[in-house]
Amino acid sequence: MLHDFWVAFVETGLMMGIAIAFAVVIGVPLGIGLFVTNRGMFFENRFIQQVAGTTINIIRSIPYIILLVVLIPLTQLLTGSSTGPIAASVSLTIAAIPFYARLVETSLREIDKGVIEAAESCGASPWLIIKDVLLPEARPGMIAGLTVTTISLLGYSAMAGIIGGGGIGDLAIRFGYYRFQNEVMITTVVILIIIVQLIQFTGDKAAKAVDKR
Amino acid sequence: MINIVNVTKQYDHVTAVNNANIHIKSGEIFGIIGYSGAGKSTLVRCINLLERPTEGQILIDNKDLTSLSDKDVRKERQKVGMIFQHFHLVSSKKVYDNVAFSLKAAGKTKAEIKERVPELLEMVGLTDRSDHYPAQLSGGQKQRVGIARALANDPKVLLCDEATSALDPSTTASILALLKKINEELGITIVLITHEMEVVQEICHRVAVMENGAVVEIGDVYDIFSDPQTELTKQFVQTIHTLELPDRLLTGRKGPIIQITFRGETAEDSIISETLREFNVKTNILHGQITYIQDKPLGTLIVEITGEKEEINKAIEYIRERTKQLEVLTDVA
Repeated sequence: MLHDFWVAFVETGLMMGIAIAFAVVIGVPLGIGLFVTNRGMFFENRFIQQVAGTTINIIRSIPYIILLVVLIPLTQLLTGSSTGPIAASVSLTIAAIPFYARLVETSLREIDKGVIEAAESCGASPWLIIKDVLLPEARPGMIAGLTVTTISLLGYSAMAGIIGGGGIGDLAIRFGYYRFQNEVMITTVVILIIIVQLIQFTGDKAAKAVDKR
Repeated sequence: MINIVNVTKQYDHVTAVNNANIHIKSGEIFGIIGYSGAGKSTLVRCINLLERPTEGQILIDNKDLTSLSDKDVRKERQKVGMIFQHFHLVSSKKVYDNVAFSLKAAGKTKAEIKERVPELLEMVGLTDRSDHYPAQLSGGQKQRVGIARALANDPKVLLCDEATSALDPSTTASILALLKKINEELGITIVLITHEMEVVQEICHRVAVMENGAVVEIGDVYDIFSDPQTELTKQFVQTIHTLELPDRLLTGRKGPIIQITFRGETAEDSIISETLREFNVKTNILHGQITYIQDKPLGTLIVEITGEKEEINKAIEYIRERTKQLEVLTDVA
């Protein structure tokens, strides 16, 4: 049983790790893109705003459990399988990217417009402003957003267990729910609570460490 | 040096700046004063094209900025520094890196930056604050960082957007002194917008008064103070140079009460004592004030003149001729 827990733990870690990595690599530029194409910003572009904004909203409005099923063909195509943690990471990634992109955009919006204006008055290029002003100024918000994203994904990853994604959630359902092993269910829930606490604690610490306001 | 030609800035339903024309000379400190919403902030942002004018041109050293591409505008902005009311420093960067940002924007190398930043911090008196974050600084210190950042690339012009409005009086005085020093020692032209007449009095050479997006009056600070033409300008002048007489004093006087304004040299002449010697009248000083603007005195005196009616009239004529500015407040017939 202990071995099962360990395997489930590794599987959850794997699918979440993949999803979070993609959320950061794609979500951050997407969030920046949403922000800088806003009205009054240096790459103001209504078309990109509309297309990206609407796409993100559509994905975000689909319940994860539906997304999971809808994405089975894509998952099959990408990973050659529709079960296991790697397969589960596909739908998790698709859910995580727009989620995090919006949070990145929100944290960028919180930057005082005057700071951006001051950077422009120095003659800085948009690229330098993104790199040297927007990203460092939004960092605490982006870390806080990543904490929220990670915890939400942990919840989603449990759902991924339903279609055979593996992981802690899968364990809870298979042993705890289907086989009426209450102690397994309770243990997994306790583990999940501890993990969430740890993520929140680490995230808060990290956000605070980079916050110089 | 800076030519603002027929500049209009139109937002959806608001005309923030309406056909402004200002010529700012090289090396001067030029003030733009107005209440909030007068359009002065928008106008100053038109100078470095943070706001693109809807109509009109901005010429700096005869180069029309409005005709340049974004990339060339950025290059010109390096020659036009700007500081702000709320400083707008990057809170996640140390003082050093805030100043270095300007140099980075101008494409300076690491070595050049390393040499230049300490020079700038020394100039604004913040050498020992290099490793601090903005949140650890006082308002005045933050503004000094803003000034160092604005001056990093040896600009020809420094734009100040209500640069002292968020500071307490003594800090304001020290920042104004620094701006004056920058103007005198580096020869940088300063355009300063404010709603405080004290600031204009303290350091400006010339001033434009704005109301509802339009420039209503423009001239030497001394002329504006001593002879304001519009109601708005009078209001501003009154904020620092005003003589309010209690009603009690205006009633029940024996002779007419006159207000004499002394400008320039006449302020230093002994007009009153000469009048007393020439005419058989007595004067009773009710109120007086001398304000120094750019080291030139501007005096206002309210006196009651008593004596024979004919002598009084002669005396008033005499003073009027000598000072050019005399107003009879109450005339006891």
